Amino acid sequence: MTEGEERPSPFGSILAPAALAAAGLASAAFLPFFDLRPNRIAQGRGIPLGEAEPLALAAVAALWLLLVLSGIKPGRRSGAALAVAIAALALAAAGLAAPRLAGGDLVARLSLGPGFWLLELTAYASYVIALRSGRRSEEKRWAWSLGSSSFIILLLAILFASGSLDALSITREWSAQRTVFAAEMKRHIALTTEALVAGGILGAGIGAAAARGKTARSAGFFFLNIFQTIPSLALFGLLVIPLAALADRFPLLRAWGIGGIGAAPALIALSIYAALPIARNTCAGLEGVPPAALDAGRGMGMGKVQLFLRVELPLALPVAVAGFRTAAVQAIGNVAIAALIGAGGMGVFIFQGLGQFALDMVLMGTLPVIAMALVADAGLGALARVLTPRGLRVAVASAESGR
Amino acid sequence: MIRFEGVGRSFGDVRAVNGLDLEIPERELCVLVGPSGAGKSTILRMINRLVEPTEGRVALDGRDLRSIGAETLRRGIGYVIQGVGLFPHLTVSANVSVVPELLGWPRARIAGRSREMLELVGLDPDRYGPRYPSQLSGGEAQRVGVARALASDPPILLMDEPFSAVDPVNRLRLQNEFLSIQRRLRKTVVFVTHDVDEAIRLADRIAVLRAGSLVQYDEPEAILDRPADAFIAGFLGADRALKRLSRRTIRDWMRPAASARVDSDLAELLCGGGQGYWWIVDGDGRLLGCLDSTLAGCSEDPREIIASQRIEDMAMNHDASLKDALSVMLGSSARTIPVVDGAFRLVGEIGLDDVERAADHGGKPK
Repeated sequence: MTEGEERPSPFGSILAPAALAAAGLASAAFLPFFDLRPNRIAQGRGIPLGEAEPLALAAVAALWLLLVLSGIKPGRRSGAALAVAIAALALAAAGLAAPRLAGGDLVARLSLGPGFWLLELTAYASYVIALRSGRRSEEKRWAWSLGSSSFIILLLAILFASGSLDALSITREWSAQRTVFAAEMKRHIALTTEALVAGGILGAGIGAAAARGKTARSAGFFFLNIFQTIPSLALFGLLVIPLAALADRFPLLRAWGIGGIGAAPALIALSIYAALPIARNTCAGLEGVPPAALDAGRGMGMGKVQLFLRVELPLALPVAVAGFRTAAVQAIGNVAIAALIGAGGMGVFIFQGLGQFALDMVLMGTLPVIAMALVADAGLGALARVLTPRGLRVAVASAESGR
Repeated sequence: MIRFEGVGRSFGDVRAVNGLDLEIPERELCVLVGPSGAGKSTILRMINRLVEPTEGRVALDGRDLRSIGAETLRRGIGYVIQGVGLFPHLTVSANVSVVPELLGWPRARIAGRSREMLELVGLDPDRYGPRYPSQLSGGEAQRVGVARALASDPPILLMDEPFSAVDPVNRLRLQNEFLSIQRRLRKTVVFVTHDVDEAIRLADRIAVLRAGSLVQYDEPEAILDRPADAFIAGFLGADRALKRLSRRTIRDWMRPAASARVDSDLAELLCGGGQGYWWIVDGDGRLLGCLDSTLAGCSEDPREIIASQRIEDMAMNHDASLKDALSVMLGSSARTIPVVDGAFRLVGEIGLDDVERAADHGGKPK
């Protein structure tokens, strides 16, 4: 799969935005934008956007209409901007209406309802479609993504700093658990990083060995593929038994913090999961180096190290980093599951929230996971791009223009 | 001088090269030719130690190659391969600079050398230097490959089927360009090909190989005249006489031509009762046409006859081969055709009998 190749919008130029607009508008108009409960366990009451902020609903409707109309004209320059405006408007409406609706009642819980989330989701989908269609250069698309995400983050920060979001139950949940949240966030990031470092070393090693020899190739991928077919939860469970036994036998291991549950089995499983995409891509990257270039390099008197540093590495690295990107996004999600065996991380809130049917707590765990995954994906995507030598980018460009 | 002494090489059970004794003289272009699997590339790759012999030894100026470090040896030998093998992530000029960089030349010298090399192979350094390999045509890429191999001015150049992936028209151009570069630089070139025509066109010496053994090693004319056995005769093909002609240039076999200036009294030539033909040239000696008293009557206007002729289809450059001349004669059904230089000035003429004389292997140029 090539990053950012030009492709026409999947449903023609107008159908997809129109469908998204209808869905977004309907959810804003009819689904509860807020959910107000007298206390944490009581049955709630849905408040649609029209009731909370009638003006905002009118503005959202107008923006959706404009977005669909902008899709009729080719080029669709304003589509992405309009989608960002809708997302921002929904956020602002939530921030404006929340303090009034909650009314200073400290027991009542005001949470964002499906109307809000669906509106944000449809706006995001329209944004992606608008950005992908049309003949924007990749650089421009990157600039757009960076600009619009900074704008949304800035808006969130302002709303948050001004206290507009304090009335929302998710904010209350968060401020009640601030210190725990910070600690779990740290653990989540640490666990992800450690798994990626270990998986990166393992994966790059197996991938490089696989690119050199057939035996290493089949053995290495056989090993990784077996683990990949085991669901993560099952693998966490499977590791509990041998590690618990080991820790029982060797007290030293226990002293290091290795045991049946906790971070150790999670780290082992997560590293193995991370290794597969990295190994695959490292191998593919090395095998993609033209054999003639290797022969020429050797024939011109490059030593093994020079050949690797000057030829193989620059050509294989972008592909390997693309594998690392997949592994990173996967690992961030998998760490959330690792909370089940006591490894900590955002999963703690998700599973605790699910157990108590406290959706705010679930969201408090889920939203950071999504945010981290998006940041990792964008950051590593940019890194892969920077690492791709210009000569290869030129090759892609001339292939696209049909040369 | 490169010497193979009783060299053999096996890959597992396969004998790639068998008891090879071969001496490649300095500053000559030696072509290794043979069907695929004859061991040509293996022999070539033993010279820069990409393949090591299992028996015997290879010596360079009397020194066993094994006593020279492989990498040091390779940096002193140019290497051009069929797939070109340009580094796709480097620009053309960076590709050409690879070996000088490995040798640790100063920057300014490398930059100057890279420009010089691109000019040598007929590529404008300002236009092509900053490009990437993916932006080059096959012929341009192979030119860069040759420039890269020559960049450190190595005395030896190894070329492994360098032009065989290029289309026939460009292949011929690349061959001719390479020949003129070689005439200037006089490197010791070892050139592998399976194309007999290419071998005959380029070689000072041809080594014919079959199944890992050397079957004949001689100058191209000698091999064409006296193929050592039926295999070689068959490999050379039934058109051996034509191939011999392709090695002979018109310049060596042409004879002086009778000419007349266009501003002289041309009617007098035609009507004066003299029999024969005259090449008509302008004041600078450039060929304009032909007047033949057996074809044109006295009543016709000589200038109109000349204007109606398409003499440029008939005239041959003096550097062209006799094979090309023969082809033009057969195509234009003329027994004699004019010979010109690069500026289209008449320098002589060549006839079917001259070609016949050259094709007869005892024949020598006048």
